[in-house]
Amino acid sequence: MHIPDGILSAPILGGFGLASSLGVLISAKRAESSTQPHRLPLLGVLGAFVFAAQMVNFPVGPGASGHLLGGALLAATIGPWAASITMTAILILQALLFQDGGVLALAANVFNMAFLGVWAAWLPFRSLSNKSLGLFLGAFLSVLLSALLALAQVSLSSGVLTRGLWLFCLALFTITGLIEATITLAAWQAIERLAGRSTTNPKPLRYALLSLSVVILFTGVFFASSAPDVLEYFQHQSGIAPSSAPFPSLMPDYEWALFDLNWLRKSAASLAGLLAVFGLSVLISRFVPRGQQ
Amino acid sequence: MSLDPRCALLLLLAYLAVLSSVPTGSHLLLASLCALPLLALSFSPLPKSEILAQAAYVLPFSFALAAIALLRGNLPQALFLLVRGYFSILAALLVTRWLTPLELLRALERLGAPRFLIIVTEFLLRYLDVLRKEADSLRLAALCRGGAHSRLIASSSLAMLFVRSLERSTAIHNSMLARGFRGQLPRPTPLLWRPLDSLSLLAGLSTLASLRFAL
Repeated sequence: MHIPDGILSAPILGGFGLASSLGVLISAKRAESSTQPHRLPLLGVLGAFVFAAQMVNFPVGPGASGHLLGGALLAATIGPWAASITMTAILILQALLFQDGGVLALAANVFNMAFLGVWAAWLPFRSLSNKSLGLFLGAFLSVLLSALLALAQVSLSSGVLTRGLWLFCLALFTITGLIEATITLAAWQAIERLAGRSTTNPKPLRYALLSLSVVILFTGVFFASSAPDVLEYFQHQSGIAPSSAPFPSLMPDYEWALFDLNWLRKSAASLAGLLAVFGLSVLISRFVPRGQQ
Repeated sequence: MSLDPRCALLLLLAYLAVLSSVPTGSHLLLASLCALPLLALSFSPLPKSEILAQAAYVLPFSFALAAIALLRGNLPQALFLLVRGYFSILAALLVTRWLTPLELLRALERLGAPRFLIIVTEFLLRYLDVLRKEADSLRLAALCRGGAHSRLIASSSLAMLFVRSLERSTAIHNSMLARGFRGQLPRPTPLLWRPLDSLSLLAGLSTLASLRFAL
């Protein structure tokens, strides 16, 4: 996401240079006025923390790991103005010492990651009453929006990106954003646990997920395709499809014959399936030791 | 001969700005601009082969864009992106390797960057290695306990690192107070702008402007 020198065109550099300069001036003034003298070293040390935290790899899937990017965690812990300044400090050192991002392109990188990235993380975190959900959404948006803006800058400057590449990058950034959100939330919850004050309440998130599942169950049938799935299609095509089911089925073709309406038959069958899986999961969690799950 | 860091930084920014404004077909202008950092490198005491190799660090990013341009059948644009990316970072490396990080930050401050930002960056620079070593110790401890692939251990390590950072910042502030900190950090050695710096800046800017508008 760090754009090097030699990629961006002069108008893009000039425009974002002006915007970032104004942003840095305003953020520095606001951060300075809101930061007490005893917290001054804190911003620098937290910047170093973000650098160091990038050394800690998180398992995010089979054979894959990622690391924290840090904008959302900084915004959540020290507020958006101070987080913008700390992120700017990180980007300055990355450009000057580690050649990670260009010197002239620093303005664009600062705008993308220190301003857009931090504020995109801060606004959901600030607005939503469920802080875990707000932080997750914020971290996701922080990475996604920063990366998309960087891509737009590169695309406008070089003119080489096609629609297909845009879609590919969008998918890639969505995955990166989800990884960052997962890591940020895990780190935040661990910090809360360590600090001895758990402010996160998982119940609203559970209720939200349950409500969403029920809505999908009852509305999804209107959007679902009536065509057979791939396996059934090839069974019919090759003539090996069984003429009847080998054993009696309670709800054949995911329909519960108890109801007259077609959509209700399908929705009721889906709901019954969901409840059966939930019940089975509860049973497993009760009787199988946690280490063996 | 040593230039004031501000002069070096301004010349670097001017060079990068001119290089970024080169249109795709201007081969002579691009070649002339590429010759400038090579010339500076040949006269500098910096390790030449190391700097030339280090400048290739940027190539993966530029290479991806160049590959896309090449796939679309635009070879000149692909080469242009690679060359411009390489020489931009070469010029930046010459300046950043020649000056110390503190000189660069001081130059940024004197060129108008907010002092608050510079102080935060200085703290970051000072404690970067300290916290890296802490993170390394935590990582080693997690590995020794067989937690290399545990999300719980990774998040606990991050949380521990965060708490240690908070503790560290409190200790730093206490030491600053013990050394007489009253809200302002002193600047013991101010930068000195000499006539040689003015001359160098003028010569550099004139060269860049004449190349840009004459070729």
